[in-house]
Amino acid sequence: MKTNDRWSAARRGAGLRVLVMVIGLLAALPGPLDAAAEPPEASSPASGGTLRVVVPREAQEPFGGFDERADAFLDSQLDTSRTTHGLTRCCLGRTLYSYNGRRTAEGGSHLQPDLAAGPPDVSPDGLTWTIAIKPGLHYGPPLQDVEITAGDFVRSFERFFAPTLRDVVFTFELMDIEGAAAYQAGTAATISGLETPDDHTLVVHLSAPQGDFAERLATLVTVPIPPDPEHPEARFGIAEEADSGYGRFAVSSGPYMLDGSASLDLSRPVSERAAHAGIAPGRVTLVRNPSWDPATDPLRPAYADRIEITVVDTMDDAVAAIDTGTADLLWNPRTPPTIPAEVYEAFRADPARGAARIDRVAVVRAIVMNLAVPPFDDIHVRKALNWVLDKQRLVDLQGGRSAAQPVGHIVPDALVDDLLIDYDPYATPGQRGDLAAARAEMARSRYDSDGDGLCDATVCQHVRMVTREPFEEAARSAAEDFAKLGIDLDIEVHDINAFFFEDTADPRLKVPIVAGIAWHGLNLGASGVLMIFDGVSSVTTEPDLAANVTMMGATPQELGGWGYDVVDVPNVDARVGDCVPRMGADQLRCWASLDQYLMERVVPWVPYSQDRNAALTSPRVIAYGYDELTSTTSLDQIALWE
Amino acid sequence: MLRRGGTSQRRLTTVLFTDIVASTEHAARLGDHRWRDLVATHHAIVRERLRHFHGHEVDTAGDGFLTTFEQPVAAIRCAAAIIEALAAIDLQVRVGIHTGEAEVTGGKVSGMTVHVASRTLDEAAPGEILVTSTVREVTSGGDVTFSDRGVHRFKGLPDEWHVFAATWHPPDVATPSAASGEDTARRSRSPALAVSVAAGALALGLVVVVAAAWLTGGAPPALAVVPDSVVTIDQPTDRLTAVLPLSMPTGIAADDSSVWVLSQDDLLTRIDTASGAATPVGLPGSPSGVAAGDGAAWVLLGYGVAGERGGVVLRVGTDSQDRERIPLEDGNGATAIAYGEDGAWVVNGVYDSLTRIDPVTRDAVDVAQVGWQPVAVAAGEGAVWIAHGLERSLWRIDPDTLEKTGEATLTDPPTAIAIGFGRVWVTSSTGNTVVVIDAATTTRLATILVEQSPRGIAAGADAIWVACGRGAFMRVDPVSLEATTVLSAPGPADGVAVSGDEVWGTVQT
Repeated sequence: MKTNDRWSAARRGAGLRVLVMVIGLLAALPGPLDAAAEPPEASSPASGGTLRVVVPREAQEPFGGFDERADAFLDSQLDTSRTTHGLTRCCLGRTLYSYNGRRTAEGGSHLQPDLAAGPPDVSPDGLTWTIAIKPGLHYGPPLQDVEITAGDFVRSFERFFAPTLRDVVFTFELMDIEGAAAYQAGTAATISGLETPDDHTLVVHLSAPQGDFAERLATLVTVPIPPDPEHPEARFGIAEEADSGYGRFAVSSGPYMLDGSASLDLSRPVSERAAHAGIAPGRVTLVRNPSWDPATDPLRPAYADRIEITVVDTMDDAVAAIDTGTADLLWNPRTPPTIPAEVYEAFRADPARGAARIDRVAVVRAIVMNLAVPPFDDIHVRKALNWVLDKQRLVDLQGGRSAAQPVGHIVPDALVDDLLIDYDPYATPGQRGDLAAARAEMARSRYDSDGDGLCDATVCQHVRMVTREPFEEAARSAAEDFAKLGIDLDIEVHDINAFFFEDTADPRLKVPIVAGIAWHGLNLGASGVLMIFDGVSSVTTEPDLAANVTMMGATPQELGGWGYDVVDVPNVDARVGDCVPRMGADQLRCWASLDQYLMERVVPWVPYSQDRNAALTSPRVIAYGYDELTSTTSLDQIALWE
Repeated sequence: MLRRGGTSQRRLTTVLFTDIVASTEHAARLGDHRWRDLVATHHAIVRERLRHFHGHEVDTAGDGFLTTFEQPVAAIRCAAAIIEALAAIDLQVRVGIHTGEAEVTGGKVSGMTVHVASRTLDEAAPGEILVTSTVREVTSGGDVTFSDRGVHRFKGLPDEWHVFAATWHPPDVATPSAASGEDTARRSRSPALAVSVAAGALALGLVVVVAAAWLTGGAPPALAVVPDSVVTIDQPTDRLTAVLPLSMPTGIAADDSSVWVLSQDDLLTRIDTASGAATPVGLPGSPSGVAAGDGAAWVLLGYGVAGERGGVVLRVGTDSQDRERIPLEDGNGATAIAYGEDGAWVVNGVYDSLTRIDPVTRDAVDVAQVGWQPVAVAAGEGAVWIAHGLERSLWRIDPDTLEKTGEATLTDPPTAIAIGFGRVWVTSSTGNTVVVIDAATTTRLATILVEQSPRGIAAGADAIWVACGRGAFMRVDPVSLEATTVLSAPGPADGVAVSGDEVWGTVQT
């Protein structure tokens, strides 16, 4: 499937941005159940060898899985799939700022300079960010003589915001770069907020303070695009005229490059340019980038000399490859379960076969309520649902412990640096629900007139719950629990487009309760999750991007206009606004507090699980790393027996 | 060196076991809660040492650790560091070490080498590092010596095993005996600080950046502030006097005898201001604030505590085993804590509440509703002061009645409060201001522009001290209100506290 086909599969182009945001196939966290990973030292003798990775084709999905045939594959500005994100961070593309490719407990949530020479210099008003670029760094072949300079990042931003790509990229986290909106709209020729006073200085002007702007520069958007030596005037350098397919002939700035990169003929027009030999159907091969200097890159140990990724037909074939010793890693960068539960358990039971590793993924799943639709306009009803839900059963339905874990709050732990790791205001024994606590809460509701813990109002009958595949079973499980409180749900299963672009996007539809939404950020800051609730549609002028089915932040006028009888809903705009300009740990604490506020004072949802990523490694693997940022295995951190 | 052989993967590795001495007795004496906290501290210290010496945690079994090392000498050094660090919290461990081929699968290790190391542990005396002759033979490095502990038969294992007690002699960080007797009181304290902090360094992987020349009576060299550290500034001279690297420091509080520092990795470190000794204490949750008073630290755990429905205040005395959990009715979401005016005071930004903890009964006795999103609290000048984030206001609260007795409007979102010189000082990290308010009238007297993102604030002997997010410690003259940068830091300065003549501050990465 071509990338453009893939994008256009959505009914509206902008829709995929929502998918990218809410389905969230990125990010991950340390795995408490995993065997301890061995952090090798930088000078480990384990460097060398070929890392053999196997990916099962059958386990992939329409969005976000591994598809080396897709045009967007490895396109750092366009593709936020875990595949592209993971392969780029570890191997092919450095960014201005990044992380160490490890778990939070191993420093994996701490932002560090990558191509930047140090922390940004921020003006007192928070609007001007000056970033020094490390001097003397060069691209990989065939541009090994081209130094990475500040202008290359401007090129990346301008490609990202290009008017022709506006329907396929998700830009809201960077929209506060001054002039970005005008440029994206096609009314300005350049992004006025980007300056390069010299080759090693990038100055970014913001229209509003964003305290975590450096975190936002850790996304793949800031993988530099080199100039085209044959056409120095080309605005997008070697990506000129390549709205899709650029990843197939991108030039590396990381420790590896696609095999055959040196043979890239940049003199040929894009349409005639051959992809690197390292990308072939069913096979992706990375080799060392001779331009990469480990002394300039403390974030990537890059143990293996060569990485060979082979796509096989089935999960069975992939497991067999581990068992027979023809592969070192079963990699499946997609929505959990990434390996079947029985395979995971079998490997756990028989360590001689290899290691089964699980890690948290920074994706939280929740049942979300519309606060403007009775009975969910009553906080006691909303709290009661939190008490009664059997979260463990939903985890089991999701695939068990190798696929998910119960969760007690909305922001994935990695995004607040584990500050809230012990926080669960509705914890119940075994996470099975607490009916007594739930009924006590319901008894405080105005919809329980006789105080018996059961909703006895008519608004609790035939309440529409909208869901989508594959969440129908989860929705029915939740409905069974909610019925114990007298809330009778009518479940409607809608297709994915209707779910995201109508049910959860159009406030006029007044959907009371939804199952099938997950939250995560595009980077390791919590702003990407919580800023969404700054009004129903204030994040963007396009209401369908807000994905705020709670109606939180809607004004009485808006609610009235959409036909609601309830015109007073909670609003956290000011709290969001308080957090956004704060910097560093100050902002982290602010988001953590807002998460708590939402969980206890607003309660618009019932978060029930956080995804997990499972991977298999052969006994040949002696060091393994899991990347918090991209929610997947860090291929650069895998060391092998000699 | 790694190698591969046959179908099973074997490697030469050094296996180290630890075990807490008399753990059952400790648990019985301390009770479940305190024992669990102590074990959490033990685990945090061991893990910190493992990271420092590049050891790999394989497993924990109750009170002990199974770990592996590439180099036997690293294992011995790590064991010594663990023993010394745990001594600071009155815990004793025994250690057993053996080197040999072991099967390593995934993160696990198995084989005869593991059994031998385990049996060696069984023979170790409290506080002893017992190693096999194999370890002794392959250990290089002149900083380790061995004492013969005889030949033993290990239960279930063939052969006889010759074991040795290992001792590590770390290179001196500083030599206190070299200090000049003619030094002033101020300088005579410094060697003690260096030495005891060196002990603390062993506890937490800290290194004191105090030049040996100063300690030996020479001219004090320039100190370097490093990210992730606690710095000390001498108030009379504004001079930096010590830098104590400490992982991810956040909040800080001080009284006359102690400085208490929170770390993002859920540790509280007590620094004895007289001796400089640093003692870590593991916390059962993520801390959201700390105050000092009544000879103790009052640690606010407002982000959730494992096994608790709501947040708590943990009172930690100077004896680290003197701990008490004080549950809060509105615990989750508690954002700040202060001590003074006959109470420990907690504000909660989720429930918009103020809670008073009785310092004698140590119960949360009074709760009052306050304004919208309280973010900071301080006690002094006969009142409790609360700054509200969203309401942009400062409330003056009567500590007896918990009634509001005054209010001032703030322009910018507040961050922290200090009381001193008859005034209330409120920082705003996003507004780049310090607002000065008359404590008696709640009249706003001035707004000082501090374009360094001011965060923490504390009142000193003759100045107000401000920690700034843009990497600076500033002093504000209480009369002229002039703000001067005293110290630049390579990372955000988050917290500041005053103890006697010294200003203590945290520097983050």
